[in-house]
Amino acid sequence: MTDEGEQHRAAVLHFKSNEYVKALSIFNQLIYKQRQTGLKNGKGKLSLSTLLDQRAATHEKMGQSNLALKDARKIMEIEPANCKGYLRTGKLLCLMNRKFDAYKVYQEGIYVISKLSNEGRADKDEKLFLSLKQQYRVLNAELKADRGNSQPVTKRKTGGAVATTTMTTTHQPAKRQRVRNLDPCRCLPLEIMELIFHNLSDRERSLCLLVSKKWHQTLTAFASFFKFDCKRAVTVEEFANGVKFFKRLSTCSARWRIKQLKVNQVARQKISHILHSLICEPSFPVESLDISDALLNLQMLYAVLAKNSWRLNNFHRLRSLKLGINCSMKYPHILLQLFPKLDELEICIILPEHSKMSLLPINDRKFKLLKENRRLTHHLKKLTLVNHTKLLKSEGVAITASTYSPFPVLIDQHLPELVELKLVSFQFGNHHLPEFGTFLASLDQLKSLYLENNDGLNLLTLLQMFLNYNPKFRLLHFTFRENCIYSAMSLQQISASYLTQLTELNTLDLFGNCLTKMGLLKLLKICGKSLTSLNIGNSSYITFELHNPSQLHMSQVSLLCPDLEALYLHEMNIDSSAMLQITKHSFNGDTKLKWKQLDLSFNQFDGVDLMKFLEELKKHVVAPLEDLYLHGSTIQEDMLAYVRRRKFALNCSNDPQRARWRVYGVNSWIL
Amino acid sequence: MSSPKVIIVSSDDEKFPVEPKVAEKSILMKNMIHDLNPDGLTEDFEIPTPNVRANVLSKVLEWCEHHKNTVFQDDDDEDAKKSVPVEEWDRNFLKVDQEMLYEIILAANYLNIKPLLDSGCKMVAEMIKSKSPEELRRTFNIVNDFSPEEEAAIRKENEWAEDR
Repeated sequence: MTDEGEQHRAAVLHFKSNEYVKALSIFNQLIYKQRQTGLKNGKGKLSLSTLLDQRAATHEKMGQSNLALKDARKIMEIEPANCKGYLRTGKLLCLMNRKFDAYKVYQEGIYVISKLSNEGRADKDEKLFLSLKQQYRVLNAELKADRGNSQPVTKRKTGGAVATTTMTTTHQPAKRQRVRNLDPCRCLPLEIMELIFHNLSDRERSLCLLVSKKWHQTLTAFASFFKFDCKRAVTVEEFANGVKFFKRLSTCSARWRIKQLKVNQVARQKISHILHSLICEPSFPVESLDISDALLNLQMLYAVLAKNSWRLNNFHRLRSLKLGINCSMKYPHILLQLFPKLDELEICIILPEHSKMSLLPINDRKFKLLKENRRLTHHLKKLTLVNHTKLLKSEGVAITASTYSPFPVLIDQHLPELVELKLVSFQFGNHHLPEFGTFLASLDQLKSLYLENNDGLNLLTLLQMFLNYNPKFRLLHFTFRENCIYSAMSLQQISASYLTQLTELNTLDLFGNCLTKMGLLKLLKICGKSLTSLNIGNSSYITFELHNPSQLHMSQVSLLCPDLEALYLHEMNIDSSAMLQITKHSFNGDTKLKWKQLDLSFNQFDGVDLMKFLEELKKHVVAPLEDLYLHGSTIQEDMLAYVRRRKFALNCSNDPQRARWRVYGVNSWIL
Repeated sequence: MSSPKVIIVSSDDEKFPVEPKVAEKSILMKNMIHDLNPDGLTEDFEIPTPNVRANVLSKVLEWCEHHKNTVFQDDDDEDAKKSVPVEEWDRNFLKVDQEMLYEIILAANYLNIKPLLDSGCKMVAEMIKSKSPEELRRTFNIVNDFSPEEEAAIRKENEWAEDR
């Protein structure tokens, strides 16, 4: 042991036995020597900082605060990464009652040390650093409590005090016992509560109304949250209470309106009461209206309106109208005149009954005018008209000319802004086809065309109309579902280069089509480049069977549709041998497929066939399938689990309850 | 010499030096950094956050640090966002007491850190979800200040709603 070491031990011993003067003189000598030999410290115990720190402690004990402080500050200067300097200086300043200066010293220490150690220029002593941080927190809380004495205690401050006291038990800030306020409606501002309530469902929000007055008040401030979405078979009284509730919401905001009002059946046949109150309720503007009832039809609607002298104050801003009615659509063009702001109109016949025409207000002057005005222009964007299948096939329903028409309506109107058109289960007679062709030719903006189960209009006819009338639209979505099996269509008559309407197609749904393989490939040549979704489920002629002249090789499809993501091959009679053919002929060399959804429901292959196919598919896809549908197959759950485990598909489902589209699918909205 | 830091100062004057990339998770701080240093940071840059105390700020910065390389989808479709569940890491990160959670939400709102705000709001929403009014009062320490008549009236007013 060196001389200095011996001396230092003696000094420490003197210090411990309270002989400060002796200790001090040794420290003075040692420090003098250290300075003489230069700052070659850092190795032994006897670094200059340590000595200075100890001398400062000695001065402190002797009541020589200024000298002590000088030593302490010296440590900060020569060794900025040493916690001891800051701790000692802070402590001394505290003793001198210069708390704010002490606080600043601690703060500086924490900042400087963490900066240096983050930059890798110094190793910090974790224990001392923690102690430094703790001193800082204690002092900070103390200073703040002093400051806060004059001010009322805010939530934030009290929260801070609670948090810091858990860390420093030695220190006792001015603690206040209080009931912890955990109510989000009181802790958080309105705009944040709006974000929170936005994540809840209507049902959850209506339960929240019952929590407290504050919650009720907060929630009702967001009138736009509430949709007037009535339960099934709502009673007139419940509806009236609902109207009151929404009226009260309306007082919160000036530009208030009902975003959505939905009525699905009214109890005790009181639909006309509901219609009446909707029309007559003062200042009850509705933006979207969706009403279905077994007693509702257009005749009744006009009758109730005529009775109330066609008052439409509540419907000036009506953008969307959806009606579920019980007989064919009578004078639907009147609706377009009544609701000029309409963007979306949907009429769906939910019951194959026919109601009396006597409801029509035929003697009303306004009604006569509306009825006569047959040709008009309207900026409607979406039109959905669904006839009832039973009416089309006249099964079991006696039809008289005065009440029932299976023919399409509204195709004689001028709707230049139409984007989406859906016509389901109508009967196109010979004279309707030219009318429909002219109508199509006027729809420059059309993006989505959906034709399902229409009698007298098959795919071949429609494509020929495209050629003859040459509409300007470029479709993105095209669905065509035949209503019966026609003779095979090879589309030889169609010259593909003129079918400009289909060149930008994203989704093509030809469920139940009557195309031959050549016909399908011809279509895909036109639209395949942009196609992402293709449904050829339940094709009448296309097959994957070997030796069948219409055998389709999937590789031909993927060659024509390089960006295909969703492929629906349900109800295609794919058995083991057909599956083998698919496995053999689906892939072309190195081309990677982008498939994400694959539907193989209602086919006859088994698990072994599926595995062979998936093994092969895995080599040819960019990423594993997202969804694989195997509804109505014999494949068991453990096989599906295996498919998921092997990452053939992320989701894989077989729902035994699922009905075939072939049986049920046509007109699937209908009750 | 290491690259300059952003020093974020909490309401109680604690200083948090972080990489600019971490601070820029906050749109407020990002804008401040870029507006006041149009030529890029040349030296340490101090930003005071007088609304956020150190405990909360350190938590928020922990989040920023974790997500400094995450690219968040700029999704304007509110309804699409609604259906996305809270990410696992955020979920664990936000398993704190309710007061802390509220303070993190407030800080995220003030500092304009949208993904943290969304996660926080979703966590509160999850605390509300599938609870009866009575359970909600217990969860949030709320006194029912409705009279039985008032409560019955509100129930009656909402009978039209779908009973799912």
